[in-house]
Amino acid sequence: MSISEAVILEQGEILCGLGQLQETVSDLFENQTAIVPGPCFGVDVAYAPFKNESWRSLTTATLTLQTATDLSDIDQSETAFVFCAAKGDLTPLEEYCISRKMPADFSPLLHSQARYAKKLLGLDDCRTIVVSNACASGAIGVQIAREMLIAKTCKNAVIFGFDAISRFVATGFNSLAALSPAGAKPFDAGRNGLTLGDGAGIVVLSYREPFEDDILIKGAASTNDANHRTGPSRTGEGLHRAASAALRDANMPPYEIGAIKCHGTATAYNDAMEAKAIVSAFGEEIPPCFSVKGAIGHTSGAGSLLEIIVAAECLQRRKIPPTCGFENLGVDEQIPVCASSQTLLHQSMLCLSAGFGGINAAIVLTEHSA
Amino acid sequence: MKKPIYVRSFSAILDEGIYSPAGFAPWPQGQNGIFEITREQVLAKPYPAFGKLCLSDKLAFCAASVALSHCPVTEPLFTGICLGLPLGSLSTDLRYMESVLSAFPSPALFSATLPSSAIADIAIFFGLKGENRVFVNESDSGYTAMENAVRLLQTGKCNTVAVLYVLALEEKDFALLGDGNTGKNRAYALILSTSCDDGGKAMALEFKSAQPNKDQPCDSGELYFHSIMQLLHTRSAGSVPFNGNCVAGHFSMKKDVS
Repeated sequence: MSISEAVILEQGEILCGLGQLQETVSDLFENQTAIVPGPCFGVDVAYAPFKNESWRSLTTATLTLQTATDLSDIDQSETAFVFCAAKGDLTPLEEYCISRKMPADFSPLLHSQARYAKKLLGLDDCRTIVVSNACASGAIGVQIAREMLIAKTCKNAVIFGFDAISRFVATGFNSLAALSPAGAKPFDAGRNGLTLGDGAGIVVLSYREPFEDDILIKGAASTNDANHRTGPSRTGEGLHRAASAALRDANMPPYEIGAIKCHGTATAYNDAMEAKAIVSAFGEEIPPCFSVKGAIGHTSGAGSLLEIIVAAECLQRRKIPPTCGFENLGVDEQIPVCASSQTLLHQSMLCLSAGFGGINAAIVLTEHSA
Repeated sequence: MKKPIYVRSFSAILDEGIYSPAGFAPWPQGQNGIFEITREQVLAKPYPAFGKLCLSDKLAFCAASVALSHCPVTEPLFTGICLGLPLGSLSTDLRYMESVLSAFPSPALFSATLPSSAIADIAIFFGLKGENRVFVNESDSGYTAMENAVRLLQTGKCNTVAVLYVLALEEKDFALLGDGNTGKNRAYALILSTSCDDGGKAMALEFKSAQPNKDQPCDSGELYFHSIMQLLHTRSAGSVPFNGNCVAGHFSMKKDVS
């Protein structure tokens, strides 16, 4: 008897440094140096990258991804467009606050950005769902899409993750003293904060009987710490529960996971919490762990989708990318953080994400073998 | 077989006052309605952070508090939150940006500019540790939150879900949304559960999706949620359809289940 699964039909390139630098997934596996454009190191509060050009970064991201992704065969009446962002592109709002003049056809709301992106992608007739679960938005968007596919609410889902650096976001993280002056070093002893990044990516999911080597969204879960508005739980209990629930959802024991794509922001508290959660979920047999935020930066709500794309690439390449910026372990728990590329030994990955509001999300990806 | 779903409790915080299973409580004379809502009007226990909440976070917290006060949470690990917040955190975004332009960016305001901050205090105060979803769709965020909650319950990922729909904007910011906006803040909460031990007080809820009719104008998200609340307030059976944004369906309610 055939069993349908949530299958990734397309996972395109990821865009980083929108409008300034576009890097491909390959760079993450080949380069061990940061590819973040780095405009926000030390944050200049006057920094406004796309001033007077409303939604330029959203336009750039959408049109670039449209070129790289084949959406022509999608039956729009059976497809959900899931737009995932923490704040998206805030430059129009910034302009309004400065000039107090409303730009023509301007709406400062996230669903307006979703409608705009959908139109540029030629997906006007799809149902739109706009998810804003902070920095876990992309992962929770994938979870929602998978649940809709399984419930047969739709036959395909185009998941679009997007967040741009803006003066708004850069000053905000700076006001929280969360930015590193030197660049993010996830899990490193010398880590001192995150690096912001611009990011966008598309994943197309379908629900069908998988073919050999298809990448499947095998399990997903989210939890809340119920602990603090912005800070992670110090115990990692919430992320541990999300990871364990996603593994249960995937019907998979922990030892089948080949690598963990960590949230790994390089802030002191996130990485310490995450290491505790990983030990709680995996015990003594912890698979290799990595974070890409030292390379592409923290791309907010888009980040968790971009990192799922990277995880899917890991499965296809059977390779784990290095954790850019990591040299010496700086968390109490002995988790095996990859300083350099490694071979992936099992065909499943666990992707962890967390966000403001106490949100944790976990996704299990598997390469199908008949 | 689909699990049965029950509406265990509800609340509506509107221009005229607060609706709950206990009935209707109008705003006291002299109170500027929603804008001056107090912690004592929604919650018996003190919550020191209440006074610091921005409007959208406060209304979400108030709606959840009223509904949950009639339906204590018994399994917090399996209690989720699905929030529909069509206006996101627009007023807080504007206030935060004003603080940036004044050269003193406010970290407290910044953390409240994420729509998901509206679920943080509910989770913290009531200890809700289950699944989280925040939808900022245009007209159907309430419908999508309900549909998602039903799915979480039917798949067993949650056994209780607090569904919230919040429309919140400071008075001076409504002009940003154009002529079509009513300029009225409101917040609704429904507590949905797969179990029912209320001695016949709960209403049973059924959800069915339908084929969207593109020729019909999109239904109003607020009126849709309001219609559900009216059925609950009057304990009337009925069905509330929704059509719009390439989606359609209806929630039906039956009374006197036990």
